[in-house]
Amino acid sequence: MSLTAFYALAAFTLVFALFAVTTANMVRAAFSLAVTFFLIAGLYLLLGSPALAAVQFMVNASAIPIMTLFIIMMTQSRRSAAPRSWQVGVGFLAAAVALVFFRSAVVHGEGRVAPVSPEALGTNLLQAALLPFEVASVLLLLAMVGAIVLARRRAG
Amino acid sequence: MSTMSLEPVRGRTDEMIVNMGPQHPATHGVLRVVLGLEGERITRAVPHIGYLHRNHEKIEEARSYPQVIAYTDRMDYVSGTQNELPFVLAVEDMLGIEVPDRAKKIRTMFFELYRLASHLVWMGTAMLDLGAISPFLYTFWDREIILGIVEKTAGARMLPNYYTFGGVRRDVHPDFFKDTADFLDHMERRMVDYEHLVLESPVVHARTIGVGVLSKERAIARGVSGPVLRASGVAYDVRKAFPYDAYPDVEFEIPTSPDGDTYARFWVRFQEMYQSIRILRQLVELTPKTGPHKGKAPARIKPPAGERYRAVENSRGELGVLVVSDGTDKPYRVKHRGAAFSNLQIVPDLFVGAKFSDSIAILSSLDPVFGEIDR
Amino acid sequence: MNPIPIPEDRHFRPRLLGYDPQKSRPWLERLVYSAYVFVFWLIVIGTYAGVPALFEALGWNAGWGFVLMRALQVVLLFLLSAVIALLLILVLRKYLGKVQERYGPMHYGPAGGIQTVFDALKLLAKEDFVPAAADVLTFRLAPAVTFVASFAMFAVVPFASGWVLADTNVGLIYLIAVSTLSAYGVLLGGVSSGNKWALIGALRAGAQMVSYEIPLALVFLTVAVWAGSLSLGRIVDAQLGLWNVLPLALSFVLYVIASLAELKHIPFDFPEAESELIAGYNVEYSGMSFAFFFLAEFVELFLLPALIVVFFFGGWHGPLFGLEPGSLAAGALESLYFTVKTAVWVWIFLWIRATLPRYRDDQLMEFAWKAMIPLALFGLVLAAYLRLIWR
Repeated sequence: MSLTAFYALAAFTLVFALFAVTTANMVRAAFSLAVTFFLIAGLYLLLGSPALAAVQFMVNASAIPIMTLFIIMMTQSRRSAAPRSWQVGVGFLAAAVALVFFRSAVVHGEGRVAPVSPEALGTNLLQAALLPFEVASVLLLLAMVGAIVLARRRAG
Repeated sequence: MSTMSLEPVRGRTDEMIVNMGPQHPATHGVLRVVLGLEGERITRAVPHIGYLHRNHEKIEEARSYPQVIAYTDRMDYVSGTQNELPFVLAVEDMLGIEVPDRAKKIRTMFFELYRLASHLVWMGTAMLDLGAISPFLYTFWDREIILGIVEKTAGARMLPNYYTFGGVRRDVHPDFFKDTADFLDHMERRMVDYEHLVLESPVVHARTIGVGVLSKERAIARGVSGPVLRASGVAYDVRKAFPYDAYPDVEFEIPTSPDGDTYARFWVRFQEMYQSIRILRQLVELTPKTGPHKGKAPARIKPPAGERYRAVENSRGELGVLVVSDGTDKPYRVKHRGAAFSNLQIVPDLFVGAKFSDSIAILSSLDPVFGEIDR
Repeated sequence: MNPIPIPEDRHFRPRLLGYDPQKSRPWLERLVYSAYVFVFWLIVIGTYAGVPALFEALGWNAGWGFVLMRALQVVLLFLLSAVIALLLILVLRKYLGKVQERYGPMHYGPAGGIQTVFDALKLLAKEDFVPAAADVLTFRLAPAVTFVASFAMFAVVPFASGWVLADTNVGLIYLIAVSTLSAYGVLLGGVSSGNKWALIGALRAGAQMVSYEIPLALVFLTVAVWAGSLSLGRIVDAQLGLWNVLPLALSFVLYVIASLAELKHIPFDFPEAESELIAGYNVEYSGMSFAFFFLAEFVELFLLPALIVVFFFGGWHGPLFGLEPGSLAAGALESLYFTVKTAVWVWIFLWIRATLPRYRDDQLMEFAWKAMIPLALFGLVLAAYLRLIWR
């Protein structure tokens, strides 16, 4: 049964991802991207990591799409230009390279993934991966301050 | 200053020109204000009035003097008999009619009852504009009581057509003094609640303190009167400056506030309500229970040729009437000086620089009634 | 005091056999509310105890049977949210009437009890048109996103011990995700309306909801730190001896305020205010689409107080009077406690709605960023410190 679930999720992920990159309407593209990430969260759930699934849902399928919508609204960009043929070619090339990398990773790990529990995630973030965690928060702080400075300069 | 509409200004690319009203839940009637908005901030404001113009003054030129009284009621429709008084006083002056003391006191009682009724409407609608939905219903219940008292005596609630030349049309109902005394007791209890809900509410403070400040000089320059003027620090009240009816016989104060912001205007109206209650209490005691309710007036009202201006202190400010008579039984010209009409002149001054939601608070604190503005 | 008494024949003419709908019958109103709450309770019991028992008896426990069971439970929860909407809209109107010295709906049903059915019928009957400038797909999708986001909160709310749809150990993160999603639906609605004013209204509503998400999430974290788990079931269990409202008082107050802002409830209902010029995000919506936005708001009006009860007031805890914990009877009693506590909080929210005016847009944003977030952070650190020294 989980095989059916996997095939369904994977199929829909592909469909929405394709829709996200091919549609010209930015709002629809942002929405499809959000749905794609939501479905990937479902895939994480299938892999036995509800913590990762919840975080993926919270960040990529909820918060980021809101930011994207704000950006689309503020810049009033509604339609994107159709991609040129060389851009499509580069896209396919990138997809092929990524496929090769991921396949080798899957083969290397023999197709098994360790489930991640929230405790494990938390402990890892605050012990083994402490430096990247702190650097990431400083980076976010910089981004916030920068955004405020930019907005203020525009206003007057 | 542009007249009919706002033209976009070259170089001001961020400005949106937006129309507020005349159908709008918060413009207190049919006011249309064309606003230039830069984001939240108002850069220009041009009010347009006339949506309720009913040709009162022209019609009144073709009506006999007693008939005109019925028309005057309809101007500031929330204030009922207050509109009748300046016209009646002007004609009484021209004809030299004596008004008996009891009639003066009865007139003053109705005048103050309607001041309370009008301020109750103001309070309910002002709070509704700010988002509180319940005080509206409480104030209208109190207003129901007042209108019930008036109905027992005069026969009609909002527009009773009760004053006449020499006094009032009919004597008060036997229950009138008791009803009024009961109502004043009830009102004093209610005022405590209203203070809690309105004057002491932190949300109201946040929305009104420091908002829409009107300086003393500008208020005088624009011809503002009434609570708006007194909230800017000018202690001018027609009841004290040019007393009429029974006002010389009662003790009351004129509340003023030096701040000039929206909260000051709220506060001044509240204090006026307290003063009205005080005046009414004194009058309930002082009014003789028997006696004439009307002085001697000629059967045919034909004032000698000439003109006369009389003003009273309406709930909104100085309501004045200029009666020009040509010796016939119909007036040659009746010019009404609407208090709210003059008060509305400060709208562009107060709106510019304010945020949009502040404009709603400011407008509600000015308390415009369009019957009086447009006539 | 009474003004002049109204003569009897000025009443609305009673319809049949002398029954006067305009007469106030408090006992009938209480009966109607109790009936609604009783139906609500029955559906809760059916969903969380009845359906699993049924499937257990049928032997359809694993695999597709499990999926079917969950699907049936979700359908029943949808029915539950319909009952919640019916009840809450009626209670809102009647309660506002009580506060405002008037009756509220009186005509349809006993003491106005079926009024909301007619409201729903009215919304169904309205033409549900899409403006020409709107993006049809997204326009239709937005109310669905908002409603699904509100409805999805049901998955982690524990009505009684063990009575929860998804007893995950990341329930709190899921809740944060889902509340952000309802803000997303609002934004989508405004963007896709093809109307400049709806766009501005949606931007404002979205900004407000997103700004108040932060103290909301911080309070969630505070509760998680205090209880030591991200699972709502365990948070309720941890309140066996002491309800969280006492040690986490500051966070509790902040949570109530943030919930009011998430609901776009007075005093933070600026995005929905009719007396402001710029109409809200749902100005172009009518008929069933609008009904979905409306339904989402009322479902959240139930769920956010339910979450207050879960996080701060011991959830479904209450004296069991000797019933065996884990049994059906205990579950029913616990869910009743939960319902009653939630009802108290819904009443408090409605009381706030009846009383207060609304804050201005920039005032509420300033309040969120300058007052609530620092206080919420302080509350988080305080809770962590208290936990360290007390446990």
